[in-house]
Amino acid sequence: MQWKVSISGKDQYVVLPDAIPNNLPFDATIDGRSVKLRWQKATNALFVLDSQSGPAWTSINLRSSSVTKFPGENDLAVSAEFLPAGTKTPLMLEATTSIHIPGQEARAGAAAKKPKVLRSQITGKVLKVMVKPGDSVTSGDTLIIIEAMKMENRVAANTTGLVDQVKVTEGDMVSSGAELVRFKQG
Amino acid sequence: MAKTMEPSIKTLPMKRLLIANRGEIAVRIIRAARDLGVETVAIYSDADQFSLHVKLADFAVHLPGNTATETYLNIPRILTAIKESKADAVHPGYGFLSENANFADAVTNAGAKFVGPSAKAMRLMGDKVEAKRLMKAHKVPCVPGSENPLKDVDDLKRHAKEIGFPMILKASAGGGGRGMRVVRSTEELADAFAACTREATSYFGNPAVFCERYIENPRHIEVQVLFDEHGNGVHLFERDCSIQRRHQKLIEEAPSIFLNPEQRAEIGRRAVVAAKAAGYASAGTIEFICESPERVYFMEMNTRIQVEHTVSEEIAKIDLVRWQILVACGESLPFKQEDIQLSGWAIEARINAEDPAKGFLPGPGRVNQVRFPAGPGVRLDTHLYAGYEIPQYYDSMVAKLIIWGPTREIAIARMRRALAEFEIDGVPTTAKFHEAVLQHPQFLEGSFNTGFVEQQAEYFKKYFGSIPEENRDQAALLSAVLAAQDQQRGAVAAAKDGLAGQQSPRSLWHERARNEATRRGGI
Repeated sequence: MQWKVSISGKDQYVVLPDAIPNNLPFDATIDGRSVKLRWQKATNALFVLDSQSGPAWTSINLRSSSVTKFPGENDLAVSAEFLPAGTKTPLMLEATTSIHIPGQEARAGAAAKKPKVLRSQITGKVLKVMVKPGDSVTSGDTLIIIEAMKMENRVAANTTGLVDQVKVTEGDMVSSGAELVRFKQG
Repeated sequence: MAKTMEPSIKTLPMKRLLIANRGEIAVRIIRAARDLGVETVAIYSDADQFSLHVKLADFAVHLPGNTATETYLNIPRILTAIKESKADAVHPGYGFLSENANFADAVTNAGAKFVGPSAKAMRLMGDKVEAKRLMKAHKVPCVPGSENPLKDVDDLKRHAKEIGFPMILKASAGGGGRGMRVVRSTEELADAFAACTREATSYFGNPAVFCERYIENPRHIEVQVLFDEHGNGVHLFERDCSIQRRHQKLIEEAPSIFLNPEQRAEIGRRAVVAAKAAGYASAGTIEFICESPERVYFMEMNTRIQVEHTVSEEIAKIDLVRWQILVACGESLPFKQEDIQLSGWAIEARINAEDPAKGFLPGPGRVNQVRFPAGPGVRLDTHLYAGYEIPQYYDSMVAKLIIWGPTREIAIARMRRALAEFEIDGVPTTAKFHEAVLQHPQFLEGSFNTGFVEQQAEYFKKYFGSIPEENRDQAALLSAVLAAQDQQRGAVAAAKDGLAGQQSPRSLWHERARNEATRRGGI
C-alpha cells in the first residue's frame, strides 16, 4: 500500500505492506529506496536495517504521537516525537498523510473546490463566538475562544473571506477536529 | 541529612484524612498518609472517576459534576463528604481551596483538623498590603514603594522621586495581573494613576492604589519553611523558579545557582523570620523577588504545599507532606536548622499536556501508552497510567519529573536521560520544551531570569520547527507507519472505497465510528 506523506509542503511516497506484522522484518520503500523494517508495537519502537547500518538494527524510539482524523477529509494529521538511535535531540514531526491510490488525483482536484472550513485543534468548551454568518474576516482574526484545562485558547481565521455558517454556539463542547466555521467559496 | 527523631506513628491522633484535591498531589498526599498508617478519603468529580487517586485511596466520595465550582471548590459539598466519610482531618493540597481561610474555618467548625496553617495566618499573609507591613516591621526587606494607598497624583510624584523608574502601580485589592500599570517616566504618571484607579474601582470595587519599584525580569527565588504548632521552625533552603511562561512555572531547581552560601543562609534566615512573624505552622513558602543577589525582596507567602516542594525534599531529605501531617497531629519538629544539611542538587520539570510547538496549546485526551523513566536520581510524581483520559476541565499538569544529583551538572545529565526515556503516547507534552531548555547554554551556565522563555522565543521556534534534513526520510517513514496503524480502525477501507468526502449514509456511519475510535483510541 502506498502512502503519501507531506512534511512542510514536501511530498514523499512510502510503500508498506497492507498489514504490518508485529516484531517481524518486512520490506518497505521510501521514495524509491528499499529498507527492511521491524515494528514493535509493545515498545513503540521501529527498527531499521539499511545499507548503512549493515547487519545491526538501529532503532527509532517513538515517544509520543497523536493522529487526528478530520471528518470528510482523507488526510490524517500526524504529530509525533521520536528519538532516532545516536541522536540526543528528539525529533518533532508534523505531517499529513493519506493513502495514495493512483487515479485519486482527480478527486483531489474536486477536494480543492470544497468549502474552506475552520476546525478546532483542541477538545474543550466554546467560551465565546465572535463571528456570525455574513461577516467578513481576515486571516488571523480571532473568531472563537475555546476553553480547555483552565486556559482560554483563541481560534483564528485560517482564511480571508465571508463567513457562511457558524457551526457552534457558546457553551458547546467540541472535540479536536470538529468543524467550527464554514466560509463562503470564492 | 537531618538527624530526625521520628515520632511513633502508632500514637497518631489522626485516623482518616480526606484529600480535598485531585491529580498528582492527591496521589502524593495518599502516599504520605499511608506511610504514617493514616487512612485516606478521595473526593472525585464525574470526569475523575477513573483517576488514580480514587483507586489508591481507602475510601472515595463522588462529587457530582465536572467543573471545579461544582466539585473541588464546592465547600458545602466537601463538608458533607467529610461528615459522610467520618474523616477527622482534611488536606487541601495546592490550588482549589488550599489558601481559602473560610474553608479552613469551615473544616475546623465541622470538627476536623485542617492540615495547614491557621486560618488567621492564611488571612494575614493573603492580604498583600498587610503582609508587607508585617515584614517591614520585622526588618524583612520589601520592594521599595508606598506603604499606604496613594492619596493623589502629587503623592505618587513624591514617591516616584524616591523610588525612581520604572515603577509599577498596583490595585491594593488586585491580583491575577489586572489593575497593574508599569510607568517609565514622570510624564506618564498622571494618566497611569487615573487609569489604575479606574480599573481598581471597576474590577475590585476598591480604588486604593499603591506603587513600588518595578523590577524587570527578576529571578524568582523562594524559600521552603516548615513550622510546628509550638513555634519551632526551619527552612529547607531555596528554590529557583525563574523558568516560567506567563507566570506559570515550568522548571524549578534547588538550590539556586544565583546565591552563594552566605546569601543562601541570609535568605533562609529572612524566610524563617517572616514565617515566625505570621505565627505560621505547617509547610509554607516565602517568595522573594531578586534584582541581584544583594537585592532580595519579600514578595509574598504561599500558605500551602507547593507543586515544586519536591526539589526541597530531595536536597534536604525531609518528606514535607509527612511533616505537614505530623505537625497537624501536634508533633514537635525534632530537628533544628543546624541539623539540616544541603545535599546535592534537584531539578523538577513539569510535564503538562500542552504542545510547546503550538504555543502551549492544551491537549486533553486519552493516554494510549506510558513508559516511565527510572534509575539513579529519578523520581516521578504523577497520576498517569496507560489508558487514562486526561480531562479537559482541570489543570494540564500530568506529571512532575524530579531529578536529584550530587551536582547541578549531574542532575541536568540525569534529567536529559530521564526525559529521553519518558514516553507518553496520545497527547502532546512539555517534555520537548524541557529538552530545549536543558540544552540552552544560558540555562547550563545559570544566567537566566523570569524573562528567559520570552527572550528565547526564536530559539524555541527553531528548536521545535526543524527536522534535520537527513532524518526526513525516517520521519516520513515513521508517520506512515503511524498512519498504517490507524488503518486497523477502518480508515483504509473507507479511503479505498473512495467514500471519504462523499456524504453517503454509509460513509457517515463509518466516519463517525472512525472518529470515535480516533478520539478514544488514538492511533
